[in-house]
Amino acid sequence: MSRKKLILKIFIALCMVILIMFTSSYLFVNSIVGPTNHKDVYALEKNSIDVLFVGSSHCYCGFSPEVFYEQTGVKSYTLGGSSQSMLSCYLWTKEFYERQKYSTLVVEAFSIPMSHGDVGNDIHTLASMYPSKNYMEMALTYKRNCDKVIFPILCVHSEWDRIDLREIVNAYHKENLGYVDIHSRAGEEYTESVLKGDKDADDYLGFTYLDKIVDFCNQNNIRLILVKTLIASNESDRWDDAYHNKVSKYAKEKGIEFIDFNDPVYMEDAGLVIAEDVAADLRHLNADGAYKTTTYIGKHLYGE
Amino acid sequence: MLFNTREFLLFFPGVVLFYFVLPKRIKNYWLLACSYFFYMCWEPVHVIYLLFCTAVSFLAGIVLDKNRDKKGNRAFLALFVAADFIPLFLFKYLGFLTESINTVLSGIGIKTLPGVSWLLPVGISFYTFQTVSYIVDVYRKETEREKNPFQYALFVSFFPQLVAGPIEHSHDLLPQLKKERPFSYENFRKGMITMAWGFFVKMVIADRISVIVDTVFDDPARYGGWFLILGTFLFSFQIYCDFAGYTTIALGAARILGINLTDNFKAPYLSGNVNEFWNRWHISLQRWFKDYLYIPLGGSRKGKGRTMLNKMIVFLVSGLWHGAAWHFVVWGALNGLYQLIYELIKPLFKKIKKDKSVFYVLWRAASVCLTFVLIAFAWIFFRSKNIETALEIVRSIFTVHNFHVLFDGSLSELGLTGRSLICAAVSLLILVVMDVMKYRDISVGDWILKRKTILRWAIYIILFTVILIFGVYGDSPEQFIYFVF
Repeated sequence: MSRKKLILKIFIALCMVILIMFTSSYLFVNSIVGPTNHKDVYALEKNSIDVLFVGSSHCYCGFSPEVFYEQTGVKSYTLGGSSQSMLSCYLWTKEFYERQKYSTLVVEAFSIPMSHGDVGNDIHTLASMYPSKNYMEMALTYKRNCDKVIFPILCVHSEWDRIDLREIVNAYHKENLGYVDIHSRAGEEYTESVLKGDKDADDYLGFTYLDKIVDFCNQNNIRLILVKTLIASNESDRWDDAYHNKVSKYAKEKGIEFIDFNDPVYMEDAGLVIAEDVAADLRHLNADGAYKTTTYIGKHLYGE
Repeated sequence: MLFNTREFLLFFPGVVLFYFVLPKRIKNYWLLACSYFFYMCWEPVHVIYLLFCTAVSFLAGIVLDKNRDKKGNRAFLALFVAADFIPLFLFKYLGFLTESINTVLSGIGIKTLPGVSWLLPVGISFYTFQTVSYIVDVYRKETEREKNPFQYALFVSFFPQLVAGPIEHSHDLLPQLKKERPFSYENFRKGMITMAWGFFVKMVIADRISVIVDTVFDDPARYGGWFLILGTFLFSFQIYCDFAGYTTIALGAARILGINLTDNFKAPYLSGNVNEFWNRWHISLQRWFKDYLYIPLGGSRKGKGRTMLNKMIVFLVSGLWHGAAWHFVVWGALNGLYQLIYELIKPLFKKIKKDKSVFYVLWRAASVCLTFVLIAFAWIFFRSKNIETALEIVRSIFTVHNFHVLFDGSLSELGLTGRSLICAAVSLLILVVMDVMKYRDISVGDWILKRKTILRWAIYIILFTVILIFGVYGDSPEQFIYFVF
């Protein structure tokens, strides 16, 4: 076989490998059953959103754009993802701004301690991003894992038993604007706030990217609010005094508003009751909790 | 560096590309450098032991060749073999020895020795055996001593087979390494498809069923009876797929570089008796034991009783080779016992006529199943953490009657989803079909390579896609089981 023919064959084989990896990545990212709606961002009418909510699953269960519109007449969008880190929040904040010049950004603070610099947590949300300079920034940030950023299949292949091809067709027909409603309740035995003491926490990688979000908001005159939605459990990997104090201190230093609904004052103001408004998983708000939280934020931003 | 990592997927094409681009005289130096780099990716300092074994055996070759036919050469042989075994003894057996002595000493109330626990260098059992085989072969004049130390170092450290074999004879591998090996498209194609099959077997089958095996064997008190039977059968396939997968990838990688290595597995679970099984399982190790232990002990030349004793010794040593622990010794002893029983009933097997009659087909099927069950039973001692756990598992298998767990949905508790279980079952079925072909000496790889371009490429694409999607891999890929031996 001539050298030319060999090189051509190897080239074709490589192209096929890349094609298979791209195609399977696209199919997987768009058809794994899950609540993330980042791909819908590109289907929104340009400059139609004024308020953006970003964060983890605590965000997509906590803020309902429909309720927000009912209460304020202002259009918003919820861009939450399961275990979404602050890096992902930061990149999507910028990506979203390319299409929607929003005036207010609400960051659900649970993403701060969630950030471990692991692409595995973020891949479902990041993989929905179109090729752009933010996408490049993501690939460069993850350096060692840039192969997984370019070919998400390397990260999500093990979820093959969760794929549902109908998701690809349905992707752009969701009308919930990112909100996911839950209808269970924590139950009567949960009454106490998770905030009980005065301990402090370590530094988190999440603050590095929160700094960048702060800078980005300052540059573009975007109002920034940090919010922690109400939870019922008090396990070490959830939210507690340590996290609360650390974020409070940060918010004070940066001059940012911070509303922690686990603080009894805010809880009472918003009319939140742990037993009724937190879902049975003890971590997320149910539909009632989301309604009260969104209403409170709406009033806080735009008055009665 | 594991084969099933992205590091290897970057390393190997780089090695191949430069290997065929570089001038002939430095090709092997390049391979040597790559092999050492490959080895040092685990624990750089462990390269000292590789260098030590290489130096000792190379020196042994010089001394034994120089003193050929002279008195005292036998003493040199013993000296060099003993020296070659030093790192293996220190790292693998010293701890076990002191622990065993301490058990005895504490039993009789005497002060115990300080314990020894060192990290076992990867592949030490394999390259030690390979270098010992070279020393003995030079002594026996079965191989010419190698004069070029770099060429010899490459023979010891050739990366595809360095950490888990196949253990090659110097007279098989050294001449191939010395020969000019220009790029061959045929070798490239065969090597690639062989590697792909190896990755399938390791990543799709072995690493998937390992989830069930680990769940069951880590908590035998909770998963009794049929859970353990299932776990034992699955472990039999896991260890086969894991090791055969490794060997197949090694064979494919070497083939691309123009080297033919020994195929370590020839459809072992289709063997009709335990003797046949050991002729088809880890062939290069069995050959080593035959050439350097069984035959020097007298083999089958000194009567039936001695033959049986020799076989038992071989299997006990084989058990110890696999791991310095008593449960490995019991595993070896059990397999040795099977051999002794087979020796006694062998005449019965010979009386059965091989034909196409229904009786023979049934006899054959029954003997294959029985052989598999016996081998699987012995694996319990191999897989368990210690003898006590193994005995607990055996007791549970025979006393807990919970056949229903196979059908009432309890299997979903073992760590795999329903779809993943189906995937494992289908993959195992494909493996069985491929093994039947192999048993009949039909090369599926050759069959694929003779097909028309479209069909051939369709098979390549399907195989690649299946591994990409159904393969178990990620940030912490599963180790190969034999890497710890």
